[in-house]
Amino acid sequence: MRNFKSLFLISFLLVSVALNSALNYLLIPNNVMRMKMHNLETSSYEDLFLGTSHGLSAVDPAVVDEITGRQSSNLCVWSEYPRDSYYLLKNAIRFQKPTRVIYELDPTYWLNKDQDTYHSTKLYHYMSWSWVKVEYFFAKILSTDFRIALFPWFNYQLQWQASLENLALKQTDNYRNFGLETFDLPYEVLKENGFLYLKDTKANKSKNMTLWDEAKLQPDALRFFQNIVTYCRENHIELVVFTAPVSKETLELNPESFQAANRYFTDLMNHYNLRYYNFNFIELEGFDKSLAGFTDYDGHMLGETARSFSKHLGEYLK
Amino acid sequence: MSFVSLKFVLFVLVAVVGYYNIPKRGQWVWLLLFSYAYYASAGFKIVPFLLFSTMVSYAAGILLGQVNNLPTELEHRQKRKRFILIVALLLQFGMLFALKYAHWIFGNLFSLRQWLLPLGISFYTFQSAGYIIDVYWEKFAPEKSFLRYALFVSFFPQLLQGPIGRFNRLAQQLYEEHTLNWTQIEQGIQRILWGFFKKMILADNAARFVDEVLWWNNYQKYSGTVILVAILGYSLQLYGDFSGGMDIVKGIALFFGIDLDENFKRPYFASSIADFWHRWHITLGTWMKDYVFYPISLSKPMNRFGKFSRNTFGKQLGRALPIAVANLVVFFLVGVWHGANMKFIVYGLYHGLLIALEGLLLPYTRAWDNKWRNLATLRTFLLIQISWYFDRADHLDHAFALMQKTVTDFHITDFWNGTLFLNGANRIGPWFYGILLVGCLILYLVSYYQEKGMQLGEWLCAKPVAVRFMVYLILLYALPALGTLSSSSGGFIYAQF
Repeated sequence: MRNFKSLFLISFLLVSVALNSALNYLLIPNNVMRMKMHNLETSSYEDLFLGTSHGLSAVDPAVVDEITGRQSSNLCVWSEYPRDSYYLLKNAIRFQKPTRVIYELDPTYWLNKDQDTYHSTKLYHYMSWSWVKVEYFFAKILSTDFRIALFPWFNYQLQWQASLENLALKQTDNYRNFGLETFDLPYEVLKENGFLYLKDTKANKSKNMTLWDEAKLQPDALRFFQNIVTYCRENHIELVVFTAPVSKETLELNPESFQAANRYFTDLMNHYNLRYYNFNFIELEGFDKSLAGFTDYDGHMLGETARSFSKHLGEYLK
Repeated sequence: MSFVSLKFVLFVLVAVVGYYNIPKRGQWVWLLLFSYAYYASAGFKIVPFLLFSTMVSYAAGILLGQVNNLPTELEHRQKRKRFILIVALLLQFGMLFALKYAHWIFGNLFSLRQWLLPLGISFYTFQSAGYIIDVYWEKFAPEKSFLRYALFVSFFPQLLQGPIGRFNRLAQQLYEEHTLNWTQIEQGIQRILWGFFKKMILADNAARFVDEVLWWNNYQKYSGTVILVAILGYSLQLYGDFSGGMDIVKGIALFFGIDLDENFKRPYFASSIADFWHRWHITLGTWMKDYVFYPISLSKPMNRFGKFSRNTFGKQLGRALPIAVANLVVFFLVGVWHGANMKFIVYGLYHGLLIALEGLLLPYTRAWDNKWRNLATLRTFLLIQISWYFDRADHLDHAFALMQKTVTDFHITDFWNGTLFLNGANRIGPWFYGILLVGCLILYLVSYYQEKGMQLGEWLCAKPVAVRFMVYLILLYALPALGTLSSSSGGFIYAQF
């Protein structure tokens, strides 16, 4: 009886693992994180950009590098919380010897709990096996919804119509060789070194955004930022922090919120003795801050705005 | 540690594997360690409150037991026992009051809530208080071992959202030695999968629509029809969330060979409000019945009131009135139990009033209800929906505003002219409508057969292995395939109480 039950359990687990793998293969499309992790393991960089979707769409390493004369990679992704940045940095150091880390700071990610984000499982999924991966598992994945952790296809649960397309794509050399061609979509293009060029689709600009409220500050965000600071110091890496600009319309809507955030983070970075540029309050000559250059009020830049911003950023990082 | 987190899955796995691989006499200690580890995982600062509640009720039990054995006169013993009971209950409920309610009455000056509200405090306070009263009534001898008693209060699956356990039914199961029983493990898996189905597929999908429409002032954007559908959605969300959580709790307890009390018995099949409370949050209802309703009903003032009302209003009404008054008190307390907010008090009083009315009208409605049972069920369902306005609203004024809009801005044509898809419901998309409808159908069929007395768990266990294999695989994969993440996904609504 006991042997039979064990056999039942083992068969169930095996079938479950096989089915899960098949669904992952069918439903998960090619994605930015896969490309970024591949770049990290196969190229060499002096500067690494960490941060959120704002950094992902605002920093074009090719433009920045032209001015700084260095090699950089944009490792910013959607929903990258300080905890994710810390482990992403630790993982990067396994393959890279950067002399500088530039952290794009979006205050929103310091106010929300960083559980149950699909993107962290992608980061986990594409990390190659190492102690960093194990650490990240315990620090993040373990606390997420078990469906996110165990069934990575959960995020694409209803995208069955794309499964045949995914299947076909995954058979191509382009996919196997991490080619960028598959990322040329009607609304965005993934560029070299991790920059996501957002196209102007003329869609309505969403007003959704989280306003700064120091009372909601997450202790974990502070803790993991402190970890980043310490880690950089221990590894003799310079850490520079910046906040990407939002449109002037956004600033005019909630000036107190942005000023309060600026005061808090300026004090914090002074405390850590770090260079901090909040581009919401720095005049950039020739940079158009009007809403027309952004996809939304939250501050995601369109591709050309990002390139213009990247030139200015390069000057500050020179 | 959320029930839906991978951490909790692994926590239970380690607890179960260890439980059956250590010497059997140490099993209860193992459970105690895991229970405190589980509670501490939400923050060490809340552990002292659990310990305080445990120590007070344990000490009260021991003292009551000693007084019971004193060779003194009954009256003298009763006086001392009453003193111990009152002090112990004051300490128990005083802590609950200070943490949960003081801010409501005194502002933050005398409240501890500004610092923290320990998880599950309403559940373990009531469980401990029930123990003290039972020992006072000499239903059983007090537990002598502090650690064993501590397990009764803290058993981890039920700690955060019940069911509220009774010492005479639960304790012995916790302390006795258990041998691995595969049938129980399989039944536990069934309950857990079914619980997650209700939580992740029904409750969380419904929550996406409900939260959008009923969140603060959002309702102003929607017609009364959409608000009504959102309230119906909330009835599904709340039931799926709470009863799903209970299924998971029961399933986990079964892994350890422990059969917890049922907290739900298909409440939307109830044919009266009283019947509803025999099926919804049963352990709170029975707690209130045993420790509040009967003591009030049998008290001297209530006896005098009974005599007065029988003399004044006649036999039938005179008998029903004291019961109605006792019910009003009980449901006022049920409302208060839910939280420090007027909306909960009105929610409780609404139920109390309906039950009182049912009692008073019973002689006239019994025959009709027996004949038209389905209509009685529908009437009860609709009356319950009204109470969900109070439960779901952010505050009392919000509840009345929602009700007003439901009535004054209701357009029957919205059901078929596409408004439901254009407003609010479009947030979740047609797929989720389909999932909700199919999920409801499955829930209804399972509930229907259970209502007919069918034991579906046992029925499934008797099926060939290939059938069970497929059913479990489908249920497991339905959770990521059809479930969703909503604002309430990570936690359970009743874990806030």
